[in-house]
Amino acid sequence: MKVFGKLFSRNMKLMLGNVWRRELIMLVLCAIAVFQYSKIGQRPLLSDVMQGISDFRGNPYFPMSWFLIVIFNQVVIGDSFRKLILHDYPLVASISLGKYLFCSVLNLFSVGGANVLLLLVMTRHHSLHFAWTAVFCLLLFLACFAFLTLIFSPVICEGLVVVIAVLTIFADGMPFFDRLMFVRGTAILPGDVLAALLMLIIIAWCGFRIKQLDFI
Amino acid sequence: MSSIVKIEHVTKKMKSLVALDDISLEISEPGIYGFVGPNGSGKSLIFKTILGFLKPDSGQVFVHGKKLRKDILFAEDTGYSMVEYAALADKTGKQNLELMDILASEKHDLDKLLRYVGLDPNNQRTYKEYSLGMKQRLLLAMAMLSDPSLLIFDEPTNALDEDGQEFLKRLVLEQRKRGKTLLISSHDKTFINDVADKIYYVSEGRIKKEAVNCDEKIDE
Repeated sequence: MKVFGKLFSRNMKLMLGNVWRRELIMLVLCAIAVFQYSKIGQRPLLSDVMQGISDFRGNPYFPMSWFLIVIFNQVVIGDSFRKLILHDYPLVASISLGKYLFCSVLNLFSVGGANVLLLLVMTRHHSLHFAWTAVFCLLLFLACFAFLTLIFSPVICEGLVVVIAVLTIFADGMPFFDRLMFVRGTAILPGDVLAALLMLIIIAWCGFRIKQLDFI
Repeated sequence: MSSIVKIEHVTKKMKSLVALDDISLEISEPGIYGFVGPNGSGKSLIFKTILGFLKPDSGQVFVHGKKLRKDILFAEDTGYSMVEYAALADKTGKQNLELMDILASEKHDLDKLLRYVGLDPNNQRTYKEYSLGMKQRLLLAMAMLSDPSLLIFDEPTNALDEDGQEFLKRLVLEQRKRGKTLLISSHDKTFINDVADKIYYVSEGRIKKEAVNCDEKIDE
């Protein structure tokens, strides 16, 4: 347990050392986007900032706060998970891959989870169901992104994240990602479950592929 | 006696370039094995393949009788010093060793090890503030921390001054005396000639020749 704690602390330092600049920039951008909804002396509602695309009398507007929140963690994490596995693991090669991977996922969720928690703290949430769904979706999306960066270039993965976010905005009916838009309802549909399962399969596939990768 | 290191017909492509081209070698006896060759010839790639950091496109690698990427992911009971896998930049030499030691199953005398490689255990400079020679010495200490039976040093003579090279020579000869196996790559022919029991000349991703005298091979 002590070894695991030290490994977690080491990985955390490595990851934070890699992401802190991006974290700072995205935090400022998100804080601006979130607080544009606040009235004087009042915190905005989570459902306001994650409202998603709305159409006021035939004039749809781009939901910037929603977009920033959805891509927030992926931009912050960038290539840091890839580096943690493919570059920093050989330095502690005596640790088993399973243990190292588990620890790295905890590191990933610590950074990503802290960001989601911050969002929840910054806002009030009248719909607990929506809040929990958003937390689950954002973290699963983050894990899927992080594992994909092990196989594909992080730049390509970032591009994919942006495309998915934009598609969700403009194409009504995106399974899973629609659940992050309050305006599109919070009821979980079979398509959402299937999309979540697909993401878990992608994560498992990438995890099994690690042994085929070069650690450089 | 089973092989310490055995590489069978390993080929590795890096993008379109064939970086390792049907490499085979077997090391069965402890000793010092030198690898010489021009930049980009594939010396470091051979080491990374032996360590398990690179997965060959074809062929297989065994270290201490275990097949890499099948029985084990990385080579066991093996220490290495390679600049690509450097220490943590914002930690002192001792802190870097402490971090590795905490993760190791048994504790080691870190001060003694640092003094052994010629570094001051009380030096508060971080790794990034070290001179190149000091970095090289710390990497050697990290490689030897768990006292592994197989040591792989990639270009350990780089950035070492004359005293440093003398120290390195003493170090590798002492390790050989202790029954270790050392794989060392270097541009320094004199150094390799002085210490190596066997020398492999690597060129264009192939082992062109095995010999006991570096000059003999390079003249070929």
